Amino acid sequence: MSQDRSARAEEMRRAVRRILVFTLSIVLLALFALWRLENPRAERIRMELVDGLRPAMEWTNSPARFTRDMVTDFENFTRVYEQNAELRREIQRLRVWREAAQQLEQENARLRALNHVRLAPAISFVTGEVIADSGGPFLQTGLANVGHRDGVRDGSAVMDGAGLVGRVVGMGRHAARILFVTDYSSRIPVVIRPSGTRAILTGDGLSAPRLEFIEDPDAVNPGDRIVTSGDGQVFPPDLPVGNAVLGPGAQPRALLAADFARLEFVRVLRYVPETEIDSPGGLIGLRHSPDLRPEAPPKTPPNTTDTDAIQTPASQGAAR
Amino acid sequence: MSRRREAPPDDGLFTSIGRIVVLGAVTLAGVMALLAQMAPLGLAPRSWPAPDLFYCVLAYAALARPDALPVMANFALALLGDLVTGGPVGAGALALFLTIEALKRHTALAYTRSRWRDWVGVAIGAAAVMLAPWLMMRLTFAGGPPLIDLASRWVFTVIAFVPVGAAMRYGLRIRRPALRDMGPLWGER
Repeated sequence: MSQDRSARAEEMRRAVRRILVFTLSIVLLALFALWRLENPRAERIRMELVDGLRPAMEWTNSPARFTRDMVTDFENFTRVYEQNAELRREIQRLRVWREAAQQLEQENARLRALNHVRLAPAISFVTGEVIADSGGPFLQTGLANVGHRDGVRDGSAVMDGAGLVGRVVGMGRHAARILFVTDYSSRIPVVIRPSGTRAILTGDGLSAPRLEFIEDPDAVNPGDRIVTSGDGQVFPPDLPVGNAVLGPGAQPRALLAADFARLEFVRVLRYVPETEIDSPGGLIGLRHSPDLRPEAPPKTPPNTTDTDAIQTPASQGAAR
Repeated sequence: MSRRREAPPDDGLFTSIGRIVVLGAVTLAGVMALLAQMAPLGLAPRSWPAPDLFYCVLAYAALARPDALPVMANFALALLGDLVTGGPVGAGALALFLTIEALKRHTALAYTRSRWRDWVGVAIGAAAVMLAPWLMMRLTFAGGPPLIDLASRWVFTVIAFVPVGAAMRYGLRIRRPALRDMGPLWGER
């Protein structure tokens, strides 16, 4: 009798467990669907959790950084003489470049002053440390210890000292998730200099992402400089990305300027597009929409209207 | 050739408190494993793949103490791992949750099993944990890594199970209880 009761209880327990497993599986499937359909909300939930774990991540990061530094130091030590000679040559080259850059800067400032050029506002940035990577094979992301508190916005461009690293795709108060340009889902509009050809930089998991939808493929040569185009107003224009190279199968690719192997600190740009075109111009639609007529120009002497737009080298320097 | 394992010596009373302590130890080890595998040692694409230490911890717990890893705890841990790492939310957790439940069932079916059989089970489970999210991403046009990347991570994970299991067995002293102490606590048999 008691054996029967025990067997029935056991049977019941098994049934409840199966229902529970099935229900929880459905919940997880629904979560996956939410992630695919409305990624930002799922990312917000995820970043709330990451914010809580951030101190532990920084703590874990210390021994990892120590190990990495030790390996790097050992590598440097083994080729210290070679590096010394290389650095001396580099210093000589940079001295020449510094002179040329200073002369060009002065000339540039004079020409801008003559032409009344209005410069885009200087882009500020915040520097953070990379405290974690994605920990899995599916997305190539990293976590930086800067977040909403530091003025980081969703979609902000992220750079290291040399070039574009990626963009912010998830943000907490103290941490931000960076989607690297090498990730499978990364698409960035770029311009290839000097031809000015536009293309899309498409991540495919390799260290040199593909260049796709090239306007004029014949105009692209290996070694050409690649910068962001600013299309879509997510990234500012002219951020260095890398150089064009030919990959396997003569596929144009971008050799990235950013050094992912030694990515410790990143700069998150606080960029806000200056102009939003959200109404027709002064010559269009005036008859139909009187509210959209342009305002009358201010009554000021013609010689003084543009003085604010003139930026002298000194003011440019102060602005930076 | 399968070697039958001797039942380990008595580890003490397997009360509810004991199970909670084991669950706490497994959770702590899981969080440490997550943090370790997320340490930014190789950010460059195609650098050395990090083994899935989190899976190794949960798999060992499922094999050694399935009674101390109830369904809800398994669900919560799988979801935690999915949310903290940068993978597809829900897909990774679903694969891990179901795989660990399957390993628990595999454990419940027979007390005496060879280590090789356990290891093969862990290897099959690791493959499922990696392939299921990959398949779900492909089916929903989300892209995903090439299979060769997953294969290298799978190899590292299967190898890493041995030291992780040893650390949990001898470091945290989580081991299979003596046969006479199990009774109804040993999941479904």
